Amino acid sequence: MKQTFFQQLRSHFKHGLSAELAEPQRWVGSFLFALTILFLFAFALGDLEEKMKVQVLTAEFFLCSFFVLQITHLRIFAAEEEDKAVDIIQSYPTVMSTYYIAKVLLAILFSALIIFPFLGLMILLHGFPALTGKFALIAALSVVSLSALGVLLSWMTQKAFGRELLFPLLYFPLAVPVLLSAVQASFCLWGLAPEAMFLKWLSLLSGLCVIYFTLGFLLFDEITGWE
Amino acid sequence: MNLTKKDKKAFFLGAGVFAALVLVWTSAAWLVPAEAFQGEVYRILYIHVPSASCAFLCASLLFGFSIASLVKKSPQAQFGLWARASAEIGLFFTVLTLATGSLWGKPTWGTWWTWDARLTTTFVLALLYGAYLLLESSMPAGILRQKVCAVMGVLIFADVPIIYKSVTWWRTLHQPPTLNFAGSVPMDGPILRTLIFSLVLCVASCLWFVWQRSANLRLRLLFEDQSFRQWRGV
Amino acid sequence: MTNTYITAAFTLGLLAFLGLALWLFLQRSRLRILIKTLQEEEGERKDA
Repeated sequence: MKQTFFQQLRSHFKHGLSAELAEPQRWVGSFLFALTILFLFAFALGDLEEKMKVQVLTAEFFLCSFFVLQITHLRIFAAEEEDKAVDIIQSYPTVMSTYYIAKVLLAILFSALIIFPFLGLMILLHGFPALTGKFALIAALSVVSLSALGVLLSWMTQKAFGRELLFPLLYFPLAVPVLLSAVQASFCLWGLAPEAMFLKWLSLLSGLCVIYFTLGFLLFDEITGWE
Repeated sequence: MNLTKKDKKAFFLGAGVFAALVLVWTSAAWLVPAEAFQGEVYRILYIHVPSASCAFLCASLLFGFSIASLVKKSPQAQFGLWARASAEIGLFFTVLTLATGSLWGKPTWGTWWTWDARLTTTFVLALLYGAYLLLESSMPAGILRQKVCAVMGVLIFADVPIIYKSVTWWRTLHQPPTLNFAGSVPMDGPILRTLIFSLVLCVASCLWFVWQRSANLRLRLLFEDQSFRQWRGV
Repeated sequence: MTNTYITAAFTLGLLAFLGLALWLFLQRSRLRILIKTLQEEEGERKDA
């Protein structure tokens, strides 16, 4: 009996979740990297004036998010690659878009599990004034758009030579508009940029989220099943 | 020199376009009057604005060939060649835009570079073209490579409206668009005419470059194919 | 000083265009020679 779209999605998500939970060291590694950034900036910050401190902390948060997400997305298909199951999955009678959405949801879930505790530590230890719904929205939109992009690029570079080097080279330019709008929107919250611009930056961030997710959803099917 | 008649015609056409472009740029550099606010330095815009237009035009060409690759179930190699040529020429024009922009920026703003929204995103476009070419060269030849590069081409094109709109969405150091097709153009007659001539000839050069580069790529593919057949003894 | 920037920009533009056109021309020429050489070798091999 052919499964519906949501049944396939649920099935892919469940399998992906079990595979990720079976190897927690992948995610622990990313969290340790985030902690390293936290300590490094703690050593470097010292006695900065408040306005500059907020700018540096914003940079720290998005820098850490970017690198953590990059590491996470590069290895999002690691479970299938290790089990040599990539070609088998492509031969399944499944809608590959459901596989893509499942992987994006997993990426968002595990990225959020690293990024948001990291943000909590920044609020506690550095006094980062990010305990607002608006900043949480900016962070959430950034994670979603970068996840949608990262999963697509990770799948695209599977058969490429020098993938570990190629992936960041593809990921970085496409992530720049997301980072730019996230940082500028944050600056509007701290009074470092005109408050009236907040909605424009947020709308760009939301737009990028929609664009990357939609493109990933539509194009994932096109790049599967070819040798 | 072993060019066919078709090659010679193509290169004569290119030489003609280039000669016309040299004439227009000579006129731009010496004959057209100076601009009221910027003075003489505005003349650099006769190269900078057309180069930027060509850089974006190449992104559109890349998008078109990428869509063609995706739509066709078994795309012919020619779409991949046209797309690659568009990316290479697009990179050329983006680098030229950034270089001439710096030469204009130094006397105007007092700095070679600033992390202004439009400059940053134009720089990102150059990185995207470079990333596309790296992706294309790091995958083994075949339909998968064409499809994957086509997806990358679509992603690059998604970035282009952000670059274009960034100047009108946010007030930044960069001046507003020079040519605004919705309203009136804040430019004097001779200046506007020369800019349009420069733009048209630059676009013609850009299309010629893409055409010739893709022809060279096709010839190289033919050479590799014949060389392989000979080696195989077929 | 402004004239230096203008001259540099126009020189850069012209040299860039000329350089690219020349590179394409030389590449085409070389490829035609290589293909012709291959075809001649193929012809000799078949005759032999």
